[in-house]
Amino acid sequence: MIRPARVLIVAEMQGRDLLRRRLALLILVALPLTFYLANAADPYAPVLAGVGMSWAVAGAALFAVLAARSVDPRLVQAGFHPRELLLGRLLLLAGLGLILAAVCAVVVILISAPPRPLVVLP
Amino acid sequence: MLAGKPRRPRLAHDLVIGDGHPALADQAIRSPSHDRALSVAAHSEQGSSQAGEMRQVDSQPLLEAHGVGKRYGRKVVLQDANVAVRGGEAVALIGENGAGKTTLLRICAGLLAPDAGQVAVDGKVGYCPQDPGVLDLLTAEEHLVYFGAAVGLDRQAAIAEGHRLLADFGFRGGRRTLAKDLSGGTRQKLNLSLALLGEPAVLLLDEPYQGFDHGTYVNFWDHVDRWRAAGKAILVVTHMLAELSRVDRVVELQVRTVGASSNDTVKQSRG
Repeated sequence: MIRPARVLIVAEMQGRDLLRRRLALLILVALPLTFYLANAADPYAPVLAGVGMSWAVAGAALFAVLAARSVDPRLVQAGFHPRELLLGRLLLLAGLGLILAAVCAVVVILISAPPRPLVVLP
Repeated sequence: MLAGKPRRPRLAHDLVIGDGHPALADQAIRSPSHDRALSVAAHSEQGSSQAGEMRQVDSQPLLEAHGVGKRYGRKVVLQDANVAVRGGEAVALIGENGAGKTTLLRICAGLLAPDAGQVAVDGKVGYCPQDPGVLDLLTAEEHLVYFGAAVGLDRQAAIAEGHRLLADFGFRGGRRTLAKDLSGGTRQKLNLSLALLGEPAVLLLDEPYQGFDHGTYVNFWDHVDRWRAAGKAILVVTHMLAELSRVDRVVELQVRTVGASSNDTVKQSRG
Protein backbone atom coordinates (compact mmCIF):
# COMPACT_ATOMS: atom_id res chain seq x y z
CA MET A 1 0.00 0.00 0.00
CA ILE A 2 1.30 3.43 -0.93
CA ARG A 3 1.37 5.87 1.96
CA PRO A 4 1.62 9.59 1.13
CA ALA A 5 3.68 10.33 4.24
CA ARG A 6 6.33 7.88 3.15
CA VAL A 7 6.31 9.27 -0.39
CA LEU A 8 7.02 12.69 1.12
CA ILE A 9 9.89 11.26 3.17
CA VAL A 10 11.41 9.83 -0.01
CA ALA A 11 11.04 13.18 -1.77
CA GLU A 12 12.57 14.98 1.21
CA MET A 13 15.59 12.72 1.46
CA GLN A 14 16.09 12.72 -2.28
CA GLY A 15 15.92 16.50 -2.20
CA ARG A 16 18.45 16.74 0.61
CA ASP A 17 20.77 14.44 -1.30
CA LEU A 18 20.39 16.43 -4.50
CA LEU A 19 20.78 19.85 -2.91
CA ARG A 20 24.11 18.78 -1.45
CA ARG A 21 25.43 18.25 -4.96
CA ARG A 22 25.87 21.95 -5.37
CA LEU A 23 28.57 21.86 -8.02
CA ALA A 24 26.66 19.36 -10.12
CA LEU A 25 23.47 21.42 -9.87
CA LEU A 26 25.36 24.58 -10.74
CA ILE A 27 26.79 22.99 -13.86
CA LEU A 28 23.42 21.55 -14.81
CA VAL A 29 21.90 25.04 -14.75
CA ALA A 30 24.87 27.08 -15.92
CA LEU A 31 25.67 25.04 -19.01
CA PRO A 32 22.32 25.40 -20.81
CA LEU A 33 22.01 28.97 -19.57
CA THR A 34 25.38 29.82 -21.11
CA PHE A 35 24.37 28.12 -24.32
CA TYR A 36 21.15 30.09 -24.41
CA LEU A 37 22.83 33.41 -23.66
CA ALA A 38 25.42 32.80 -26.36
CA ASN A 39 22.57 32.40 -28.86
CA ALA A 40 20.14 34.93 -27.39
CA ALA A 41 19.87 36.83 -30.64
CA ASP A 42 18.74 33.75 -32.48
CA PRO A 43 14.96 33.65 -33.02
CA TYR A 44 14.98 30.05 -31.82
CA ALA A 45 16.83 30.90 -28.61
CA PRO A 46 13.70 30.41 -26.42
CA VAL A 47 13.43 26.89 -27.79
CA LEU A 48 17.07 26.29 -26.91
CA ALA A 49 16.31 27.50 -23.40
CA GLY A 50 13.47 25.00 -23.11
CA VAL A 51 15.64 22.14 -24.32
CA GLY A 52 18.40 23.21 -21.96
CA MET A 53 15.99 23.27 -19.05
CA SER A 54 14.83 19.74 -19.88
CA TRP A 55 18.43 18.63 -20.04
CA ALA A 56 19.08 20.09 -16.59
CA VAL A 57 16.13 18.21 -15.06
CA ALA A 58 17.17 15.00 -16.81
CA GLY A 59 20.67 15.44 -15.42
CA ALA A 60 19.29 15.93 -11.93
CA ALA A 61 17.22 12.78 -12.37
CA LEU A 62 20.33 10.90 -13.38
CA PHE A 63 22.15 11.99 -10.24
CA ALA A 64 19.15 11.10 -8.10
CA VAL A 65 18.81 7.61 -9.55
CA LEU A 66 22.50 6.79 -9.57
CA ALA A 67 22.90 7.83 -5.94
CA ALA A 68 19.95 5.76 -4.81
CA ARG A 69 20.58 2.72 -6.96
CA SER A 70 22.53 0.80 -4.34
CA VAL A 71 20.24 1.77 -1.47
CA ASP A 72 16.82 1.33 -3.08
CA PRO A 73 16.77 -2.48 -2.80
CA ARG A 74 17.55 -2.20 0.88
CA LEU A 75 14.84 0.38 1.39
CA VAL A 76 12.34 -1.90 -0.31
CA GLN A 77 13.55 -4.79 1.82
CA ALA A 78 13.09 -2.62 4.90
CA GLY A 79 9.48 -1.91 4.02
CA PHE A 80 9.09 0.70 1.31
CA HIS A 81 6.89 -0.12 -1.63
CA PRO A 82 8.87 0.38 -4.86
CA ARG A 83 6.18 2.72 -6.08
CA GLU A 84 6.66 4.91 -3.02
CA LEU A 85 10.30 5.35 -3.96
CA LEU A 86 9.35 6.05 -7.57
CA LEU A 87 6.61 8.53 -6.66
CA GLY A 88 8.79 10.30 -4.11
CA ARG A 89 11.54 10.73 -6.64
CA LEU A 90 9.13 11.89 -9.34
CA LEU A 91 7.56 14.33 -6.90
CA LEU A 92 10.92 15.89 -6.17
CA LEU A 93 12.01 16.01 -9.80
CA ALA A 94 8.66 17.41 -10.93
CA GLY A 95 8.99 20.14 -8.31
CA LEU A 96 12.52 20.86 -9.42
CA GLY A 97 11.36 20.92 -13.03
CA LEU A 98 8.60 23.43 -12.24
CA ILE A 99 11.05 25.73 -10.47
CA LEU A 100 13.51 25.53 -13.34
CA ALA A 101 10.72 26.11 -15.85
CA ALA A 102 9.62 29.22 -14.00
CA VAL A 103 13.17 30.57 -13.85
CA CYS A 104 13.69 29.72 -17.50
CA ALA A 105 10.47 31.47 -18.50
CA VAL A 106 11.46 34.64 -16.65
CA VAL A 107 14.92 34.66 -18.22
CA VAL A 108 13.53 34.10 -21.71
CA ILE A 109 10.88 36.80 -21.33
CA LEU A 110 13.45 39.28 -20.05
CA ILE A 111 16.17 38.54 -22.57
CA SER A 112 14.53 37.28 -25.73
CA ALA A 113 11.28 39.19 -25.20
CA PRO A 114 9.16 36.89 -27.36
CA PRO A 115 6.14 38.74 -28.83
CA ARG A 116 3.68 36.19 -27.46
CA PRO A 117 5.28 34.59 -24.41
CA LEU A 118 2.13 32.82 -23.29
CA VAL A 119 1.50 31.18 -26.64
CA VAL A 120 2.43 27.77 -25.30
CA LEU A 121 -0.24 27.89 -22.65
CA PRO A 122 -3.51 26.14 -23.51
CA MET B 1 27.00 -39.56 -7.13
CA LEU B 2 27.64 -36.28 -8.83
CA ALA B 3 30.90 -37.49 -10.16
CA GLY B 4 29.00 -39.70 -12.54
CA LYS B 5 27.23 -36.78 -14.16
CA PRO B 6 29.69 -34.92 -16.31
CA ARG B 7 27.00 -32.63 -17.70
CA ARG B 8 26.47 -31.02 -14.32
CA PRO B 9 28.05 -27.60 -13.82
CA ARG B 10 31.70 -27.65 -13.05
CA LEU B 11 31.32 -26.15 -9.61
CA ALA B 12 28.67 -26.81 -7.10
CA HIS B 13 28.10 -25.81 -3.54
CA ASP B 14 26.43 -27.64 -0.81
CA LEU B 15 25.17 -26.46 2.46
CA VAL B 16 26.46 -28.23 5.48
CA ILE B 17 24.55 -27.78 8.63
CA GLY B 18 26.15 -28.24 11.95
CA ASP B 19 24.58 -28.35 15.30
CA GLY B 20 25.92 -26.76 18.41
CA HIS B 21 23.93 -28.57 21.02
CA PRO B 22 22.78 -32.13 21.48
CA ALA B 23 19.35 -30.91 22.44
CA LEU B 24 19.10 -29.11 19.15
CA ALA B 25 20.22 -32.05 17.13
CA ASP B 26 16.89 -32.55 15.46
CA GLN B 27 16.63 -28.90 14.60
CA ALA B 28 19.32 -28.94 12.00
CA ILE B 29 17.68 -29.16 8.62
CA ARG B 30 19.55 -31.60 6.50
CA SER B 31 19.82 -31.20 2.82
CA PRO B 32 17.86 -33.75 0.80
CA SER B 33 21.11 -34.36 -0.98
CA HIS B 34 22.81 -35.23 2.23
CA ASP B 35 24.32 -38.32 0.73
CA ARG B 36 26.00 -36.33 -1.96
CA ALA B 37 28.22 -33.97 -0.19
CA LEU B 38 27.09 -33.04 3.21
CA SER B 39 29.10 -33.40 6.29
CA VAL B 40 28.14 -32.27 9.69
CA ALA B 41 29.79 -29.17 10.92
CA ALA B 42 31.59 -29.56 14.15
CA HIS B 43 30.05 -28.63 17.40
CA SER B 44 31.17 -25.88 19.61
CA GLU B 45 31.09 -27.21 23.10
CA GLN B 46 31.47 -23.81 24.64
CA GLY B 47 28.67 -22.44 22.54
CA SER B 48 26.61 -25.48 23.26
CA SER B 49 26.67 -25.07 26.97
CA GLN B 50 26.09 -21.36 26.67
CA ALA B 51 23.15 -21.90 24.38
CA GLY B 52 21.72 -24.57 26.61
CA GLU B 53 21.86 -22.42 29.69
CA MET B 54 20.51 -19.20 28.38
CA ARG B 55 17.09 -19.72 26.95
CA GLN B 56 14.62 -21.92 25.30
CA VAL B 57 14.55 -21.94 21.54
CA ASP B 58 11.19 -21.60 19.83
CA SER B 59 9.94 -24.71 18.15
CA GLN B 60 9.00 -23.13 14.83
CA PRO B 61 11.64 -21.55 12.62
CA LEU B 62 11.24 -17.85 11.96
CA LEU B 63 13.44 -18.25 8.92
CA GLU B 64 13.48 -21.34 6.77
CA ALA B 65 15.19 -21.73 3.43
CA HIS B 66 14.73 -25.02 1.70
CA GLY B 67 16.41 -26.37 -1.41
CA VAL B 68 17.69 -22.97 -2.44
CA GLY B 69 19.58 -22.82 -5.70
CA LYS B 70 21.09 -19.89 -7.49
CA ARG B 71 23.30 -19.53 -10.51
CA TYR B 72 24.75 -16.56 -12.34
CA GLY B 73 24.96 -17.56 -15.96
CA ARG B 74 26.69 -20.91 -16.00
CA LYS B 75 28.20 -20.50 -12.60
CA VAL B 76 26.32 -22.29 -9.87
CA VAL B 77 26.52 -20.23 -6.71
CA LEU B 78 24.13 -22.20 -4.52
CA GLN B 79 22.74 -25.64 -4.91
CA ASP B 80 20.14 -27.24 -2.72
CA ALA B 81 20.95 -25.08 0.28
CA ASN B 82 18.92 -25.45 3.43
CA VAL B 83 18.93 -23.48 6.61
CA ALA B 84 16.47 -22.80 9.38
CA VAL B 85 16.74 -20.42 12.29
CA ARG B 86 14.33 -20.40 15.18
CA GLY B 87 13.45 -17.57 17.48
CA GLY B 88 16.00 -17.24 20.23
CA GLU B 89 18.66 -18.89 18.14
CA ALA B 90 21.86 -17.53 16.65
CA VAL B 91 23.35 -19.34 13.68
CA ALA B 92 26.71 -18.58 12.12
CA LEU B 93 27.06 -18.95 8.37
CA ILE B 94 30.63 -19.64 7.40
CA GLY B 95 32.46 -20.66 4.26
CA GLU B 96 35.30 -19.60 2.07
CA ASN B 97 35.11 -16.66 -0.30
CA GLY B 98 32.70 -17.27 -3.12
CA ALA B 99 30.84 -20.02 -1.31
CA GLY B 100 27.57 -18.14 -1.64
CA LYS B 101 27.07 -16.82 1.88
CA THR B 102 26.07 -13.34 0.81
CA THR B 103 23.91 -14.73 -1.97
CA LEU B 104 22.07 -16.95 0.49
CA LEU B 105 21.56 -14.05 2.86
CA ARG B 106 20.28 -11.82 0.06
CA ILE B 107 17.87 -14.52 -0.99
CA CYS B 108 16.66 -14.90 2.59
CA ALA B 109 16.21 -11.13 2.80
CA GLY B 110 14.14 -11.13 -0.38
CA LEU B 111 16.66 -9.04 -2.28
CA LEU B 112 17.43 -11.80 -4.72
CA ALA B 113 15.13 -14.36 -6.27
CA PRO B 114 16.33 -17.96 -6.03
CA ASP B 115 16.35 -20.14 -9.11
CA ALA B 116 15.12 -23.02 -7.02
CA GLY B 117 13.80 -23.62 -3.55
CA GLN B 118 11.75 -21.63 -1.13
CA VAL B 119 12.31 -19.22 1.69
CA ALA B 120 9.74 -18.69 4.42
CA VAL B 121 10.04 -15.89 6.94
CA ASP B 122 7.80 -15.28 9.90
CA GLY B 123 8.10 -11.67 10.98
CA LYS B 124 9.97 -8.58 10.02
CA VAL B 125 13.47 -9.01 8.61
CA GLY B 126 16.39 -6.75 9.45
CA TYR B 127 19.17 -7.06 6.91
CA CYS B 128 22.64 -5.65 7.39
CA PRO B 129 24.62 -5.89 4.15
CA GLN B 130 28.36 -6.37 4.01
CA ASP B 131 28.96 -3.03 2.34
CA PRO B 132 27.25 -0.20 4.16
CA GLY B 133 24.11 0.46 2.14
CA VAL B 134 23.87 4.11 3.00
CA LEU B 135 23.52 7.32 1.05
CA ASP B 136 26.76 9.29 1.06
CA LEU B 137 25.12 12.70 1.20
CA LEU B 138 22.70 12.09 4.04
CA THR B 139 23.49 12.42 7.72
CA ALA B 140 23.04 9.59 10.21
CA GLU B 141 19.87 11.18 11.55
CA GLU B 142 18.41 11.52 8.07
CA HIS B 143 19.15 7.85 7.49
CA LEU B 144 17.28 7.02 10.68
CA VAL B 145 14.24 8.97 9.47
CA TYR B 146 14.43 7.40 6.01
CA PHE B 147 14.80 3.81 7.14
CA GLY B 148 12.49 4.40 10.08
CA ALA B 149 9.74 5.39 7.64
CA ALA B 150 10.33 2.10 5.84
CA VAL B 151 9.57 0.12 8.99
CA GLY B 152 6.61 2.31 9.95
CA LEU B 153 8.20 4.62 12.50
CA ASP B 154 7.39 8.30 12.48
CA ARG B 155 10.21 10.85 12.49
CA GLN B 156 10.52 11.26 16.26
CA ALA B 157 10.27 7.57 17.02
CA ALA B 158 12.83 6.70 14.37
CA ILE B 159 15.29 9.27 15.67
CA ALA B 160 14.79 8.20 19.28
CA GLU B 161 15.16 4.49 18.58
CA GLY B 162 18.00 5.09 16.13
CA HIS B 163 20.00 7.20 18.55
CA ARG B 164 19.58 4.54 21.21
CA LEU B 165 20.89 1.89 18.81
CA LEU B 166 23.76 4.07 17.66
CA ALA B 167 24.70 4.81 21.26
CA ASP B 168 24.69 1.08 21.98
CA PHE B 169 27.41 0.64 19.39
CA GLY B 170 29.37 3.69 20.50
CA PHE B 171 28.58 5.74 17.39
CA ARG B 172 30.70 8.91 17.39
CA GLY B 173 29.52 10.61 14.23
CA GLY B 174 28.21 14.14 14.56
CA ARG B 175 24.60 15.06 13.92
CA ARG B 176 25.48 17.00 10.79
CA THR B 177 28.22 14.72 9.54
CA LEU B 178 27.46 13.22 6.16
CA ALA B 179 27.78 9.47 5.77
CA LYS B 180 30.61 9.91 3.29
CA ASP B 181 32.65 11.68 5.95
CA LEU B 182 32.24 8.93 8.52
CA SER B 183 35.01 6.43 9.09
CA GLY B 184 34.49 2.89 7.81
CA GLY B 185 33.70 1.48 11.24
CA THR B 186 31.35 4.33 12.08
CA ARG B 187 29.49 3.85 8.80
CA GLN B 188 29.18 0.20 9.67
CA LYS B 189 27.69 1.07 13.05
CA LEU B 190 25.10 3.16 11.22
CA ASN B 191 24.55 0.33 8.77
CA LEU B 192 23.92 -2.14 11.57
CA SER B 193 21.66 0.24 13.45
CA LEU B 194 19.52 0.75 10.36
CA ALA B 195 19.02 -3.01 10.14
CA LEU B 196 17.82 -3.07 13.74
CA LEU B 197 15.25 -0.29 13.44
CA GLY B 198 11.71 -1.41 14.11
CA GLU B 199 12.63 -4.45 16.20
CA PRO B 200 12.84 -7.06 13.44
CA ALA B 201 12.18 -10.65 14.45
CA VAL B 202 14.76 -12.03 12.05
CA LEU B 203 18.26 -10.58 11.74
CA LEU B 204 20.38 -11.31 8.70
CA LEU B 205 23.86 -9.94 9.34
CA ASP B 206 26.52 -10.13 6.67
CA GLU B 207 29.84 -9.62 8.45
CA PRO B 208 28.34 -6.69 10.31
CA TYR B 209 31.40 -5.95 12.41
CA GLN B 210 33.75 -4.96 9.57
CA GLY B 211 35.80 -1.97 10.59
CA PHE B 212 34.73 -2.18 14.21
CA ASP B 213 37.38 -1.51 16.81
CA HIS B 214 38.04 -4.29 19.28
CA GLY B 215 35.73 -2.96 21.97
CA THR B 216 32.82 -2.55 19.61
CA TYR B 217 33.51 -5.97 18.12
CA VAL B 218 33.26 -7.62 21.54
CA ASN B 219 30.23 -5.50 22.26
CA PHE B 220 28.63 -6.74 19.04
CA TRP B 221 28.71 -10.34 20.21
CA ASP B 222 27.25 -9.28 23.55
CA HIS B 223 24.43 -7.75 21.56
CA VAL B 224 23.98 -11.00 19.69
CA ASP B 225 23.44 -12.67 23.07
CA ARG B 226 20.87 -10.04 23.99
CA TRP B 227 19.00 -10.28 20.69
CA ARG B 228 18.94 -14.02 21.06
CA ALA B 229 17.63 -13.75 24.59
CA ALA B 230 14.94 -11.42 23.25
CA GLY B 231 13.74 -14.21 20.96
CA LYS B 232 15.13 -12.98 17.67
CA ALA B 233 16.32 -15.38 15.02
CA ILE B 234 19.86 -14.41 14.00
CA LEU B 235 21.78 -15.59 10.98
CA VAL B 236 25.24 -14.04 10.90
CA VAL B 237 27.90 -14.45 8.27
CA THR B 238 31.28 -14.53 9.90
CA HIS B 239 34.88 -15.39 9.22
CA MET B 240 35.80 -15.01 12.85
CA LEU B 241 36.02 -18.65 13.80
CA ALA B 242 37.08 -17.74 17.33
CA GLU B 243 33.61 -16.38 17.94
CA LEU B 244 31.72 -19.45 16.82
CA SER B 245 31.39 -20.34 20.48
CA ARG B 246 28.95 -17.45 20.75
CA VAL B 247 26.37 -19.01 18.46
CA ASP B 248 24.10 -22.01 18.77
CA ARG B 249 24.89 -23.63 15.49
CA VAL B 250 27.35 -23.29 12.68
CA VAL B 251 26.35 -23.67 9.06
CA GLU B 252 29.10 -24.06 6.54
CA LEU B 253 28.71 -23.46 2.86
CA GLN B 254 31.19 -25.53 0.96
CA VAL B 255 32.61 -25.20 -2.49
CA ARG B 256 33.01 -28.49 -4.22
CA THR B 257 34.32 -29.45 -7.60
CA VAL B 258 31.87 -31.78 -9.24
CA GLY B 259 33.66 -34.77 -10.56
CA ALA B 260 36.10 -35.03 -7.73
CA SER B 261 35.49 -37.44 -4.93
CA SER B 262 33.76 -35.97 -1.96
CA ASN B 263 36.77 -36.67 0.22
CA ASP B 264 38.74 -34.19 -1.79
CA THR B 265 36.26 -31.45 -1.41
CA VAL B 266 34.19 -31.76 1.67
CA LYS B 267 35.82 -30.02 4.55
CA GLN B 268 35.31 -30.60 8.16
CA SER B 269 34.23 -27.43 9.77
CA ARG B 270 35.41 -26.38 13.17
CA GLY B 271 33.68 -25.14 16.20
